[in-house]
Amino acid sequence: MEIAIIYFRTHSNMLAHLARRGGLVPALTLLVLLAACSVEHREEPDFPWIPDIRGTFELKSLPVILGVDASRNGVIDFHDPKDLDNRHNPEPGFGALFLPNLDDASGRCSEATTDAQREVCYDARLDAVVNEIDLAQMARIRTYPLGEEAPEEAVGSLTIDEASKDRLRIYRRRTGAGEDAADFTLYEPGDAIDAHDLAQGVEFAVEGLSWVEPDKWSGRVELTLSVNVPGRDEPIEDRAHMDVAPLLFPNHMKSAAEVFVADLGRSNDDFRRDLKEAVRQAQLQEGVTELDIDDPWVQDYLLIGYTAIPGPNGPRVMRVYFRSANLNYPGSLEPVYRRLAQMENRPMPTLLREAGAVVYTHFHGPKRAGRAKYHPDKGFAPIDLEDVDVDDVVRYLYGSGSQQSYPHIAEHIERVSEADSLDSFGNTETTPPYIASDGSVYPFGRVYRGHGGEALPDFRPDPTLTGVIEAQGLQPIIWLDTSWLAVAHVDETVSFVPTETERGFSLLHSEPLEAIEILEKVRDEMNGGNALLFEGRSQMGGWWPTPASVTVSEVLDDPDVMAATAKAAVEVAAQVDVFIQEMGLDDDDLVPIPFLYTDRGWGGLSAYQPGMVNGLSLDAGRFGMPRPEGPVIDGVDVFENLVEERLAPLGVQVNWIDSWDVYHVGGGHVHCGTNSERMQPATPWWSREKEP
Amino acid sequence: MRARLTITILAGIALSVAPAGADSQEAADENAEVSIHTPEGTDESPAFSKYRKLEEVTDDLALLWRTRPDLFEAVDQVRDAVIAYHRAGAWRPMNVALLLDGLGEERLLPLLWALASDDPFALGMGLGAWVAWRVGVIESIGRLRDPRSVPPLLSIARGDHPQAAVRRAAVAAIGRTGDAGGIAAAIAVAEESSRHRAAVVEGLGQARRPAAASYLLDVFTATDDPTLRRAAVRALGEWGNLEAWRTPALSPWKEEGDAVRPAIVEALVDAYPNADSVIQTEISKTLQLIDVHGSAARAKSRAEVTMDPKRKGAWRELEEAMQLSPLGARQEPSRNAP
Repeated sequence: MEIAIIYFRTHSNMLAHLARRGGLVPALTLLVLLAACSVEHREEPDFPWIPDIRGTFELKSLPVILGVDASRNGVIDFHDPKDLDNRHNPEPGFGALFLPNLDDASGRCSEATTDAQREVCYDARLDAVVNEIDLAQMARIRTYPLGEEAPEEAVGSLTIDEASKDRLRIYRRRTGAGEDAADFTLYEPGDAIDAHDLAQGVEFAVEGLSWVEPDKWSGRVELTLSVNVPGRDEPIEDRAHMDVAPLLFPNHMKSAAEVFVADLGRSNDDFRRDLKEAVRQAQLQEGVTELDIDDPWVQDYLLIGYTAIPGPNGPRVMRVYFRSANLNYPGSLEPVYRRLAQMENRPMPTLLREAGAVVYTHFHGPKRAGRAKYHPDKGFAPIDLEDVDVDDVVRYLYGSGSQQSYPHIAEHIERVSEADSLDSFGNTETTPPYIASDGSVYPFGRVYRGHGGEALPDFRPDPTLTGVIEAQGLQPIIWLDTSWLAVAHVDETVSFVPTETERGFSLLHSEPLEAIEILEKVRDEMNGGNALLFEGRSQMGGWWPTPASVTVSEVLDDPDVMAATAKAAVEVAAQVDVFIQEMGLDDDDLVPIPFLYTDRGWGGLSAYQPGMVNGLSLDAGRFGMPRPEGPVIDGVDVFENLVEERLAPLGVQVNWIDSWDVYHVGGGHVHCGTNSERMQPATPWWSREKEP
Repeated sequence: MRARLTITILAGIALSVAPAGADSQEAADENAEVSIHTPEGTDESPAFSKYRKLEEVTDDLALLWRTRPDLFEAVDQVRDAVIAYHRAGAWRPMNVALLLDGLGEERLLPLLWALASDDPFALGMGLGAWVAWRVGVIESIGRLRDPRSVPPLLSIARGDHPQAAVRRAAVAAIGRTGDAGGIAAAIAVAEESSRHRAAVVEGLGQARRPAAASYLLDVFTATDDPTLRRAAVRALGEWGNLEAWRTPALSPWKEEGDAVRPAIVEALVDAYPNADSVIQTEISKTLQLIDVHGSAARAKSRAEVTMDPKRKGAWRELEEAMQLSPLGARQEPSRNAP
């Protein structure tokens, strides 16, 4: 009975309207419901709305109905029960959606030249619909046309809840106007809608000003359509809610559509040559785009996500390009670093990593939003430099005869700079979709990131973006301990690839000890102690001519490499265990990839050989891997051979990519040096909320 | 050629250079007799003159300057590369030590000279480049495992350096020499340090002599500071890392190492049940590096005799962790032969 009452409550206006128009069944239904209400709940004080409905039946017969696309089919249909029933349905998969309007539909932002200008240049900052592209990205709201039944004195309004007032903007289509952007004007919630417009029905377009903001805004907007009519004390109201669409980060299960790499000229021409060939073989839709940027770590300063809502002609997708929160200096120490820049005789750097500006200069545009989410001091308490002699601070930081000590400033710099690498996006990846052992469903996979955990609470990414990811609620973060790595990125040790297995994917993970065992076998059983690793390579690539080649025996006798590799084995096992626990993976889902580690200085480890897990998943059958530069026995690189044989039965073909110069010597590999735009899933996210 | 040389800087840092194998403390007590003045062409900025004006320097250094100027030039080139790398935006740590290692065995004196004389202001070195350079030079010196480097490294370890990474690197480099006197002095540095103590303690993990292990165990058992305790456990893992002990570089002290490792295992296994989860994790990782099977056996026997179900459960958990360790197969007795 209560279900029926709730149904009645939702539809009272419509049923009354139908009854007045002579529909027998609706009228009977209405009567039955009214009777049931009064019988069931007459004495129930917890349902104060019941006498209101019954007492105002005549007046509420006006069909004051707020229409939204609650069914998520891209249209508002007042005769579709799914649209009407789901306007308040809090369950996943239901309820109307709108996009955060953070793109630049007209391309006007290309004129912005500073970070400060770029960060505030997006369409939602304007009080107008920019153009038809902009309009097409906006969700709609409609009021049911009251028709001839609207009293001439009736006055309506659309309002939103207080918490959402600065989170979305509403435009109203001029009555009788067309579907052009110019036909929509800003509507201030609460502004009057006259009887004439109520009679014809009013259409609104909605744009969001932000994503869900942790601890600030849930992303849900409560809409109320009110109509005041003469002779009635209370307005007739109808309500619906809308949710801002979530931000999602793609996984590797969909093929790459476009691959990005920095064009560093001759420095990385071998890398780009091999990458292009791999992409050509994979027949990717958009191929390779070479960015004119001198920062090679494209993975690190660019994170690609997307958001989408239903539209009448299919999903309306907005790609999102995040700039990394990598800082050139802690924001509160800007005066100190300005002094340092003077000392170095160079311009003051931007606060954020310069290369990250590519999200504005290359990507930001129609249906593509370039954004940055960061705290100038990474969420740590800023330093107060008032009454501090900046020159004296500089002398202190160099250990050069300062008048006073400023250990808190040195510690702040260390804390911020040590954690900074965690904000590079090689440290933000996504698992494939899965169902966990406890039955939890993650249809979009989960984001995984590295940090220092409970032991090193300050060693964590900027909490700003972490909060945004968590607040979306769809890809809760899996945390790995990466504090033992010099660069501290998750992509150094693990990578998910689509495979022809029962689960459909496998976890490639570093297997350090196997690398030692391979070399021992080469030395002891294949008479290869003098075989060379890194043959023909030089330390630091073009930076430094010292030969890098080293014999198998020398490697096995190197206490630092051996110690680091053993340590890495323990740490990687702990990382893999996290995935086993969280995702229910078993041995069949794991693919060990052998390579050695070394201490890269400062107490952190990195791959001694090019780390082969740090590759780029191109499509379901192809993985671009860094060439391991292992010993060649009988014309075959023993590491290449082993990995190819291990991946082939899983349906994965390896494309070897020369990543020594620039990348390996700089502490990264193929994945670090590339980025990829993935194909959009065939099924939109809102149709997959309940299933992987 | 003089047997003992000292570089004294105005700041009071004494760099003493003695032949390999000489007792470093003794070396530190003597002064050089040859003076070489500041190289021409350096900046004369008065604010930071202490980094530039050398009062004394060794005749070995002078000799090397005459016979191998290329080494000094190469060091300067690497330093310039570090400066350029950081100016271009150093978003990943440059492996400075690796570049310097490529200069060969004779790099010690040029690197010590660089430590003593480089003026970041005259060179226009940004703070990041300066710290990376200092750490890289120290690490490269450490990889020479040359006891002559101990006194100057001690000066750095003792100094009031703002950056923990520099002091940590200095202590680790001293430890790598295996020099007993140096290690004793490094322990004293750790004991005296109020700031950066955890970093200094962690650096002692490279000091693979019994005194360092003993001190690390003392720190582990005596302190309530979770950061320091964790640093001590991690340093013990570095100290006892069996894969490092298998290499010829550590063979001079192998018997010592074999004798000390069981004591570390016992202490850590025994401490495991009462440790918090962070320390338990570190203990587990450290024990895997040192002795998987010995740790498992110790945990098993402790679990069997205790009547406390909580402690029994903890030791069982530790035993299981050892059984699952990826290092177990490599630490089978048959593979432990040198």
